Amino acid sequence: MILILFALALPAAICTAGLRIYWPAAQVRPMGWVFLACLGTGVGIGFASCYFFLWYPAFGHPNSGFIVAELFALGALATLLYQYLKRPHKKGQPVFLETPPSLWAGRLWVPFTVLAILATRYVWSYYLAEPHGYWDAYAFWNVRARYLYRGTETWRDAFAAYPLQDHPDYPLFLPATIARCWLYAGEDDTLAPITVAFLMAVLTAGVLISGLSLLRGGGQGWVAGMALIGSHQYVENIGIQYADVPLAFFIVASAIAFVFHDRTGRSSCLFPALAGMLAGLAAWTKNEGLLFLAAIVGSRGAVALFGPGIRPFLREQGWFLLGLLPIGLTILYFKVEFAPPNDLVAGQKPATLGQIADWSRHELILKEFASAIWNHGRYMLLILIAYTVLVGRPPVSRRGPGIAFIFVLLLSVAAGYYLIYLTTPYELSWHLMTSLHRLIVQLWPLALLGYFLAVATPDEAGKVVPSDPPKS
Amino acid sequence: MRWRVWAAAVVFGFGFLLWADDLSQLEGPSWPAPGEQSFPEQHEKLIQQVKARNNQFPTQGTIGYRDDLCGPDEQGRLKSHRIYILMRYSFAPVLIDLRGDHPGSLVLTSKGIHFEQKAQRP
Repeated sequence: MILILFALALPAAICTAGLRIYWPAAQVRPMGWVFLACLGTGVGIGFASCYFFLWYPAFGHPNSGFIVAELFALGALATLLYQYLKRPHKKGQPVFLETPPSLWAGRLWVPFTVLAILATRYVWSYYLAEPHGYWDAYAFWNVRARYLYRGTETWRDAFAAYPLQDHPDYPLFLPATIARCWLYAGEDDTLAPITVAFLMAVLTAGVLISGLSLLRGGGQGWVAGMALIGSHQYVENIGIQYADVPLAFFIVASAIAFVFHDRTGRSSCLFPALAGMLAGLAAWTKNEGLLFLAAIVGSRGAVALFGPGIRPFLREQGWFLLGLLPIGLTILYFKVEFAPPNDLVAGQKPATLGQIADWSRHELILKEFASAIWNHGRYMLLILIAYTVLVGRPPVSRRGPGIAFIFVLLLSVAAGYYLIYLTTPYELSWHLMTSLHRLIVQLWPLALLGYFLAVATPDEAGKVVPSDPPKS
Repeated sequence: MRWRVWAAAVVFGFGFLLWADDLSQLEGPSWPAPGEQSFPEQHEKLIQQVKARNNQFPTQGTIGYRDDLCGPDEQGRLKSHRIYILMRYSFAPVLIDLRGDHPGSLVLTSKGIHFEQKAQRP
């Protein structure tokens, strides 16, 4: 277990230190450190999975030589970062509200912790009952990790398109991360997959809580954290070792990086570049991440048309593409060189046009979407509506940019999923039944980000924070 | 207006009770009974026994696979698919091919799983 944690901590620490250099203002608040650590860890282990995969075609099956090379490279990078960090730097502009939470709002971490302990207990109990996870875990994620780890000369068999080989074109963030942990641990036990799954869930909660604490203050982060874990489907998805929670992390982290970019006056290159890396890692996690990549660029463009204009959009997209570049090239190389054709794309026929015009398909998809959203966490939608009515919206002076972007992004991704179901070569009701609830899990943290940016914080609702003066 | 915040807290508290109930309902129904192993764990153990009985079992490459156990009906096909997925998981990195002819094949029968070399086939 120690070696698995070491394998994950190494690239995480380097990336967090690197982010600290570019955003020294984060050190002013504890939540700033948590935010940096969550982003740095996600980016770090994401990059590690990329170069771990690239080692195979370059040098063959990784062995102790990979570990030595990685330790040497990361050690050199850490030394450089340390030398840079020792010099005095400008603190930079803080991007968070200066008002700390009130005494009682600052204690909202207590009920959150209770929920987190109960959720962890469930995930651990599930792991003891089903250490190999559920169907998708041993049908493709963990089995591909086994091919990568165990197959010395035959590692390419991980992508073999044999009959009943489910999704051999799926990208490799999860299998590569798990196989890398096994390399450090020296054995392919069941602890590595569940550790990675749990870590990604912790990072998702961490980035949501700390991000909202910095952006909105007043205990908002902790309330969002409670709502996140308050979905039993989300908690269940952690234990079954699927890739939906890791994807959800990269989605919400990429979006929140853009919100920070908007709140800093769109002058920084750090946040768009980070958003690019994280969106790229979403595409490196599951094929739905490719849809997200297109949607986030489109959403930024749509929002720019009605807001900052085309020039700031092009400038930010330049940095976004720079951040995306290394991961994008890795994905491209994997898709061209190793992955067989995607089943949804390869299964398209002339009859697809007829499917688009078939109204009964539209009706079924809309009905199932509505049902999935309504049934996500029991009465969650009603609870959030009631919460909105009670706490209301924040004062005008405390509303910031970014909310419209989040909701346009959510709608874009949902529209993409809708189109995929409309044109699926599989039997529609089967495809909806087996996947739609997990798509909701992928978008759940992003939806909460948009929601809690838009509603008042507990302090604002309790009038601990002054509201706007009445207009004379 | 502090009463709004307290009311919101009550709403969240109610949601928490529903959530705790949902989680407790997830536990158990489809889980293995306490003390019993999960289906993949049982399968892994069975596969280790098959490998141990056959010293010619390969450690890499591709072998064939034949299912003489599950029927051709819908239930049989679903069961066969599940067993195949578990076989693939447990035998990795050895690839299991449903098509084609291979020097060695896994054969699933009502008496269990055995590994058959081409020369041994009746």
